[in-house]
Amino acid sequence: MSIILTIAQSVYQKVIKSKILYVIVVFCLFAIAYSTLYSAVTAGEETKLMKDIGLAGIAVAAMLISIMVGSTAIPMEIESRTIQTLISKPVKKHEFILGQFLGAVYVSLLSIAIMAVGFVIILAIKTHMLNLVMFKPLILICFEAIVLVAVSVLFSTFCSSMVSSILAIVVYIAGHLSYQIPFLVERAGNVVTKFVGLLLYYALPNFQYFNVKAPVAHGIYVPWGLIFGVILYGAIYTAIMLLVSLAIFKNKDFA
Amino acid sequence: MLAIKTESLTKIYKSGGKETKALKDLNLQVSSNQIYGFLGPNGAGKTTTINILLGLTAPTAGTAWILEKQIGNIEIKQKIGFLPQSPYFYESFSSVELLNFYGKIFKIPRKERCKKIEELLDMVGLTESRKIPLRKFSRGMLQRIGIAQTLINDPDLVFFDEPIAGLDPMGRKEVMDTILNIKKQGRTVFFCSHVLHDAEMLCDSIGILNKGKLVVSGKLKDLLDPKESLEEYFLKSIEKKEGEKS
Repeated sequence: MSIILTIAQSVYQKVIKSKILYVIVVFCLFAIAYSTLYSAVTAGEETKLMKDIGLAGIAVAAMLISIMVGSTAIPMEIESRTIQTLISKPVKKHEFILGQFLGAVYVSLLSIAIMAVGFVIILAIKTHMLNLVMFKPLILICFEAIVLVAVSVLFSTFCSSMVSSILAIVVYIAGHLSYQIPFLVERAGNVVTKFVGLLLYYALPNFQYFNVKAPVAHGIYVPWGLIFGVILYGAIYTAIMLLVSLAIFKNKDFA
Repeated sequence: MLAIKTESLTKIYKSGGKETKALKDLNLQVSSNQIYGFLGPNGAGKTTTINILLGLTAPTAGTAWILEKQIGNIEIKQKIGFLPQSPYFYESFSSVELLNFYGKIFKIPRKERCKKIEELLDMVGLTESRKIPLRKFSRGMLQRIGIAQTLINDPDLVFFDEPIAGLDPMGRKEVMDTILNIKKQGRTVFFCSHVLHDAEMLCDSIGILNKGKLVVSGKLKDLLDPKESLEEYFLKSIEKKEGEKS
């Protein structure tokens, strides 16, 4: 475990020195703060709007950071050949993958935490109260980020960082639309189309499960049972992605 | 004790339906406590051999033993150090951060690790530059921090892949002195190079590899005539082998 954590820490150390991460986080906080200006033109709706913009901003920033870190961690090690020195040491391939994954997850969660704290503070200043209910969508944004890191890591085991980033973005968009597949499959007459549709439905992560931003922003109650169910789904999906990554990486050469 | 032993080690690369035999039935024996120069022209298969020994690539056929344990055994890696052909390290790390990272990989306790890092930085003359990011290092400095990381775990066997190539005369001398110093500490050095003059000054034994085949292997003093340079011997051996083939 200590080797996995050491590698994870090295991922964090490398990313934290990159300016792009700060740009994304600061841009997101700026967007949240900027949304307060809309209060003048949307009387009565300002809090809802702030919550909407704030949560959406954090979700988009979390997506960008997760894909950026998850897709680049392994290809950078391979392309810069630092992996040769690392693998020549007593590091097993699964330790390498899990270390890269955990490091990317840590960076993503830390960024979300910083943005979330900023968001909650701005919201508290505006509403003069602490909106604890905001933690539900924020928790699910964290788990969506973890799944996205796992998907990015999987692609990065066999693609360049650029290609795996693009594929991860495609999966992110498709994962937010995949809930519509069953309706389309019902209407499809062709058996092959139905089969492919269902295959895609089960293979793609259903990111819509993680999206409780709108109900929370509009004051609709979201039960904790639903939150835990989605967390379990995310954990299982992440585990599958990591197992596939390990299987691909197992026989990889680094010469 | 044998530091390295290979048995019919073969590596075939396949690309676009074409096969390239990078290594052909390599049978090599390297005794411990010496500097062994693994020599050969570019593309001879030297780096491929190191990559197989270190588990970076799998052999197509044959096997090898390092410190009397078969390759693939992760325990071996506790006792070896490796400096790749061009030093590739995390550019944003400083020397201390890099050595600390590798020390942690070897699970060296914190106190011992800190002491070892100071000793190594002193040994390679990088104490003053300890906090400078590696991206600002010169080629020679990178080579020296590379050597330092190979020794973080007190290895019994150290692999150097072209450690002197591309260095200025001062850098070469520093690296060569460090390699000799490593041997004095009782370690075995497996040294890959195509710079024969430096190899002649450093090595106790040599092996000459050409087109994936071992042409000759033995103690330098037994192989060379008193008035013969290693360069002359090297060219003679390769020409002789090529002549045998044709």
